[in-house]
Amino acid sequence: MSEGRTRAPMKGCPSAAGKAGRRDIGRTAGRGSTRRSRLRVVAPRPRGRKRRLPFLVISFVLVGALVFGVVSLQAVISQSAFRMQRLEQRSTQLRQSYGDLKLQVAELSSPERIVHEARRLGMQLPDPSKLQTLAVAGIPRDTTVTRASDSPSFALKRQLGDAP
Amino acid sequence: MALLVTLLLAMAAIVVRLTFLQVKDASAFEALAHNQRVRTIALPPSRGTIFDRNGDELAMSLPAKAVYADPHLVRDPAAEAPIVAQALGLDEAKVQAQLGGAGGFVYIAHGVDAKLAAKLEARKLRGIGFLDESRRYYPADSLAPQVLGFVGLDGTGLAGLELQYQSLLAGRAGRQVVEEDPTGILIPQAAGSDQPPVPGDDLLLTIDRDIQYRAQQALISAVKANHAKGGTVIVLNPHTGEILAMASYPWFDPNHFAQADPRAVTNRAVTDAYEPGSVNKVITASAALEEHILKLNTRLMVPDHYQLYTKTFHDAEPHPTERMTIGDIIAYSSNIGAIMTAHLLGTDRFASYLYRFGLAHRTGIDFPGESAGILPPVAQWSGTSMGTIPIGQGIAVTPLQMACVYATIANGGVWVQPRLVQGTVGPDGRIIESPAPEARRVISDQTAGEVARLLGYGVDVGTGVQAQIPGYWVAGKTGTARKVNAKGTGYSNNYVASFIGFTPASRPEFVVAAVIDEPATVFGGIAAAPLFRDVARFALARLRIPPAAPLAIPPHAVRIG
Repeated sequence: MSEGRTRAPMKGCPSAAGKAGRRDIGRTAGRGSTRRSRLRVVAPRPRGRKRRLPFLVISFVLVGALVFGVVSLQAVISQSAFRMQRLEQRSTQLRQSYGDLKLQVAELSSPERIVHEARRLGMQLPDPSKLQTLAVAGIPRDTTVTRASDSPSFALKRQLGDAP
Repeated sequence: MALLVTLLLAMAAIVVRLTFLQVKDASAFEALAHNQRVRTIALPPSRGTIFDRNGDELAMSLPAKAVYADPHLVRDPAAEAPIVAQALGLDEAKVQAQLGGAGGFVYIAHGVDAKLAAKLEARKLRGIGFLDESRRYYPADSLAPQVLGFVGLDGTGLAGLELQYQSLLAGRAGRQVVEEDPTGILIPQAAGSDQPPVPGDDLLLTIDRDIQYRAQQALISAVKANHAKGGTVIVLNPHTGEILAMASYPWFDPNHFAQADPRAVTNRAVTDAYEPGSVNKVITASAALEEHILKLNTRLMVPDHYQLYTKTFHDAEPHPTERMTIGDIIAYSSNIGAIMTAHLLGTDRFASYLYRFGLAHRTGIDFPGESAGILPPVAQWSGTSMGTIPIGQGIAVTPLQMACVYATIANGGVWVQPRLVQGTVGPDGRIIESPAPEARRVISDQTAGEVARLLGYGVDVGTGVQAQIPGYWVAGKTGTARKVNAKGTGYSNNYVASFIGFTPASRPEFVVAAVIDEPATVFGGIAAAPLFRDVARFALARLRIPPAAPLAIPPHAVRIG
């Protein structure tokens, strides 16, 4: 059995192999260094730090972007909600104004007010005895009384009335 | 060692408390926190608008605020009262008393204009709060107030159509659940749920605003001219049963219904029954012609008085025994002629026509509190009932019931159920027409035409001459009846005068019933016929109704007086 022969480290047992290696190296260096010069002790490579940095950077960027996105989204949502509230308030105010104006129109167009205004302007109802009824030959047209559903003014009022 | 034990005991106490808070009482605390930050806002529905037949608003609602106070939170009633009172136009002393009261909640004002309330709210007065509600407005003030009715402070219909169609007009309240921060500012995006309010349906009436106004003006003039207690006018389309106008004087302003005289609130056209008097003779004449008991040219020997059991009936004016046609009897409103005609018919046949024309039955108009009138069952008629009922005494009818009798004549013998509502308008703006009114034939078209001729003759030469309208033929009948005394034991010295008719007589477009309560001049032809004329003349112009063919004068025999 040759003395310079080294034992291969056990597969899957690096520490055992390392210790055996270091013992063999010591012995080899004392007895024949030229022959065993290929074996040397090397410092462990700083592999962890180099690989973790890009991971941290990417993670930081991703998380940062995510947080920024969520916060921005929340801000936009909140902003929109506040804007919505303001618009709703404005809508309520406008509806109120529309209702007030509608009431005003109804009051101003009431028969009593029209008669009052007409009198103020010097108008008066005609004397019935001075009214003449003319007899006209022919068949009178249909004089069916009007219905609101047929009235264009009512249709318009409905449209306006339904406006929010 | 002691320190360790103390620490362990403290830790144990904390763990136990935490267990209670986080496990046992967790739901209670969660609910407490929820209640602190979550608030439910009631969203009142918008009450439906009431339109006339042309789409003009007669009643409408606008958002308003109720202002309340929590006296426990009011620090200085004397300082806050002037601000509140001035803003709301209230009595300062009264407001101060409310703010300084012992209760925990008190309403300061209802139906406050939203803008006014917003200004007061901006003052941030401690203990003063605001609630959403709506306020009902009647823009034409005292126009058809008894028909429209009014709503209470809580927005519930209390009278008239507001009451009749409460469920339809009211809509359904909604609610909004919101989260607030401790200062009361809404938290956006917080958990909440909305249930929007459902607005009430709109009502589309058959009333024509202009005819209604004119009818009311004519009515108040007639009441004043006759120094009367009140009166009623109805304008009715005999073909459709649509009421174009319905007014009773005295009336009230529904915007201030709390100040109204209770007598003025009643829609007497529908709810009050009165003895119709001679206007009821039209039923007697119709029944006789329909049953071929008489023809238009049949002549009866009519004295000026008639003995029936213990009672003697008289004509209004003394006259020798005269030959009279049914045309004469109606034209000159002969009581004796009407009683004789009813006797020719017989009790049962005569009574059956009273019922067929709708007496003793509610018309079924869409209005609350309608009276059916009074018509005793035939089995309860006394020996003199065949003397009183043919001339419209001993029974009671509403003005609407009697207007429907004349509408039946005007509509070719077909009775049509009257109505006040043409249709409803849903939130989608679609008009839903009311169902077709009930209609039934009472007399033949031919009989109706003959009766119209009798009524036209009555206006041409008889008691109704004051109802004449130049250029148009009017058909109608006067009525004068004594009122029952307050005890209901006999007659008083007060009268009800009426005139009910239609025009153009040969092609009727509308019926007008004019009733004057306790006029100084008791005769219907003098007190009520001019009221008919004024209302009918306006309605003819308003509805653009041209004159129609003249009526054929019925056979007649005499002219009295």
